Amino acid sequence: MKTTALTPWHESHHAKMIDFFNTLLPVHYETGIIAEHEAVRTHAGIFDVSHMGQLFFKGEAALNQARSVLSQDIDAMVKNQVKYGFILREDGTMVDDVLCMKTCDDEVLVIVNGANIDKVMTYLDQRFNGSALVENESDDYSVIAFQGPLTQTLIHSIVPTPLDYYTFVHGTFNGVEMFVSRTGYTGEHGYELIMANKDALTVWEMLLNLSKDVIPCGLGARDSLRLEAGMPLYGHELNDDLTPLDVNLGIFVPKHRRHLFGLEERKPRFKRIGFVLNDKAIPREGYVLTQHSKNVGFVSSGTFSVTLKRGIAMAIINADVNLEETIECVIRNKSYSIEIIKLPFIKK
Amino acid sequence: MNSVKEGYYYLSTHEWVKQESDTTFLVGISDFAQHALGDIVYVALPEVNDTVKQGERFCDVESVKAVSDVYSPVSGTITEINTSLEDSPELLNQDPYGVWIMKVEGSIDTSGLLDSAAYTLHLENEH
Repeated sequence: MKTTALTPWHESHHAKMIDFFNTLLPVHYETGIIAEHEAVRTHAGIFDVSHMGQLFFKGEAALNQARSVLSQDIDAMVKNQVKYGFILREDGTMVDDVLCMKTCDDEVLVIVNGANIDKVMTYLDQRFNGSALVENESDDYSVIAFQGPLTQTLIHSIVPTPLDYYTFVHGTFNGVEMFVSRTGYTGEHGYELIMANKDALTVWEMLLNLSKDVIPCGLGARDSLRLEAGMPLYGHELNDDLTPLDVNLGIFVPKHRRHLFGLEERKPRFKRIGFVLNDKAIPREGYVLTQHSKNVGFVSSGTFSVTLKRGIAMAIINADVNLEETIECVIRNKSYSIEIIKLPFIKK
Repeated sequence: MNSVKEGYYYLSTHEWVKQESDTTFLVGISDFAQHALGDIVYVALPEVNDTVKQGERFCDVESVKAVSDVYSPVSGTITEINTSLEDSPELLNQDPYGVWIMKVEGSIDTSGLLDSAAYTLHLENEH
């Protein structure tokens, strides 16, 4: 199993560690998921997300390959811009969902999910007949997410110039070379910092020392925060069989690029919804949704919402389901009426 | 961390039973169980007059992350459930050996249970 540059820190701070797709990462610290979740909603938290992968496409030939697999229009992006999108197959199905960072005119840095690094590399290798020009530098970098309302002012002592949403800077800050982007996976104001492994502990402690209101958070809070923010997670809302159109994410595939992925004519087969349960029950991944006693879909992610104090979930349901009529979620042989909520659950 | 209470009997699945009188028993979950679950946010309680059987599931406990089955260390009929868990499920985290889930009129077969020494050994071996 892989570890991160911060694994010794997590272990010495009594984190509960799990094997997350072959990387040892903290689920939560002694404070617990609820306290960590609330800290990010009200103050600030830091997360070790070093399992995320860094793929560079450097030079015009590599960029040409990127153009044929990324949903993002990289030529429409300006330097220091970040865009969300997908690595797509020619049939429009999703290999991964990714952030694309335009580092300079002839280079992009693509951030892929840790669980998908090998799959993406294999796909690119096949797609370009063994001549993929991508450079996988995932093992060289650590990633720390710095999230929560207090980050807006706290970041100034690291990066003095304000960053717009979905932009980044690359430079040396407090003596450490890093990429700092105004992105995140919590629905809060926040930043993600990418640095060489050797600098990870320095940055981690630098962030903790900014304020006593910054606390370390694990993957448990990260998952409950992203779910409240209505953000999809690969392996749950997204997978190898679905296209972005199937999960209401067509907006991230520009119309003029859809022909590259067979998505021009393609109709969505499913839709992604968010719902709450007003009973005391928690929807969990895999639970079935029914309408008129017929199966119409399933829960893709579900949890107890720390903020709403109710069970919330995202689900994938058949495209033809009438949302005006009652849909029920089956939990241990009992059916509960769902209340569909326009995502995100937490509006900021 | 992971304390074991003397005088209680345990299932290897981390539930405890405490004998109150000849035929009445209190049932809860161990300190190890509440640590493993993390923040408990919901307890799907059984109902009074339900019958329970030693070794069989009688309720679910949910944390933010997951749902877990809870097994009964005693056989008999439920005479009382701890309704304070409906609104304050976190009590199970705060005081695992003081907070019970159900009171049962029935009997235990100690050959199928672990005493505190055996349960301590079980925790050391398994985890």
